[in-house]
Amino acid sequence: MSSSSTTTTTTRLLMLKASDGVTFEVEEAVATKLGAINNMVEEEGSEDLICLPNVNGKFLGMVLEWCKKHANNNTNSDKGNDEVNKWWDKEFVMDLDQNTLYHLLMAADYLSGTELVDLLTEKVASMIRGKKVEEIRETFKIKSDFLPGQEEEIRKKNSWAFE
Amino acid sequence: MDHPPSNSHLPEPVIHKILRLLPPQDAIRASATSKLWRSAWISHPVFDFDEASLPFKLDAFYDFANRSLALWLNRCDNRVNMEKLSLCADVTNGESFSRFVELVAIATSRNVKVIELQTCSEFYYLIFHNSHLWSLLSACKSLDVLSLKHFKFYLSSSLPPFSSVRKLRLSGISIDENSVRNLLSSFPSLEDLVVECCSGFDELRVSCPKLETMEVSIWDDPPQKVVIDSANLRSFFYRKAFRCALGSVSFSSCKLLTTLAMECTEFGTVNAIDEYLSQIPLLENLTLKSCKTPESIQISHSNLKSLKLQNLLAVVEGGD
Repeated sequence: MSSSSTTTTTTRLLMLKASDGVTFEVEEAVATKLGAINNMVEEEGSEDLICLPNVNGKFLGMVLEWCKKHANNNTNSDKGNDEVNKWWDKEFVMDLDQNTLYHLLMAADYLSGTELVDLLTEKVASMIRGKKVEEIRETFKIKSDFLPGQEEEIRKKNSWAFE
Repeated sequence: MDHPPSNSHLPEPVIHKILRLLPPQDAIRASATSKLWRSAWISHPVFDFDEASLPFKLDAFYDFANRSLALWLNRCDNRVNMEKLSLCADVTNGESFSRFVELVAIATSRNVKVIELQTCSEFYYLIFHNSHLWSLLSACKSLDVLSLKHFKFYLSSSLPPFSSVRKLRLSGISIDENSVRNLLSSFPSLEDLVVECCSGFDELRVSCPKLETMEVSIWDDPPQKVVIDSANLRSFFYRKAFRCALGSVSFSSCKLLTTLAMECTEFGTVNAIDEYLSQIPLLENLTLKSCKTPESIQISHSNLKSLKLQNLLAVVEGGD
């Protein structure tokens, strides 16, 4: 018999295990900022240990750091905290190198951390704006895999965007 | 095992999110970096065609928009829905309007959720109640958000209902009072309404039954009268372009209203604000911004939880 009325105020702790075996102990309210974790926790009889084979400890740690910040501030919905959060987010993405940004974005997407994905995609977009194709490739280490002539065709058809 | 990390391996939905944040020029350049980005660009279900910022004008603009949409239709089959069509074009005559509507028809045939239509012509194009545009939009049952900017409407009878639309924004619309009534009565599911800088009427009467949020920006002086009969209204924002005397605003039947914000409004007497507040027993949040008030104003309300006063033009004392 599950007595749903016995939900106590003591916070449940979850263990999140990253692909490299690193584990994090986090409050449920923090981890459920991530849609994927929220779904797992809502399942009946879910365990407190959650394995995340697609996320490495370093990036899981960073994702959780973001969750912690944003979960805390949710509890008192003061407008002033919104501002603090914005600043914190700005600092969070300020000096991310391309490699970290990529892995963090992959992790946030995999864990369905929608707000974090929004923050990181905006960072990526800000690194694309005003850049030439070659510079975008360089910035994100993208290799062109077009067949010969394909890229020229795109440029020709959209020449206005390449001036 | 150390693969060179590359953003080009991002999942398509993530690339779509990034593309959405970019102006078209940057998005097209990004799409020329690799096959993955190219294919994400073509399958991107959000379209933003703005004649003012594209180098294509008139027919060339419509040709360009048609080509882009054809590419998408070709790549994505019927099961893929369009998310958004944003269109800003020079609509001066029947011919350009019919090409304009043609683009809308492509979007509505693909269950579009958001449509934003705007003209950038010197004179507003006049749309009548029997325009094909209305029947297209009405038949699109996926449509959630509709935004109309810089048009002139003359609607001598009511329109076919836009039963799925929950959010409507009207900006810079020239419309007479009867037409406003006919227009608004066609949105039975409306929850969120924005009316900004519209002209041609003396009174704006809103009675959409499900309306929860409403924002009005008044441009005219003397200001239009605003009457809201929507019993479900929770939040009301009243703004004026110039600081002039408060026009008549009545929301006495909105007993659930909890948030009220007024901007650029002049309150003549010490009790003027209180008289308004007495209409709203459940008010919790009140914001007064850039308003002109007498030396002192009185605000007394038993339910008020948050009061914000910004840039007021007089000394303010009060509180509760």
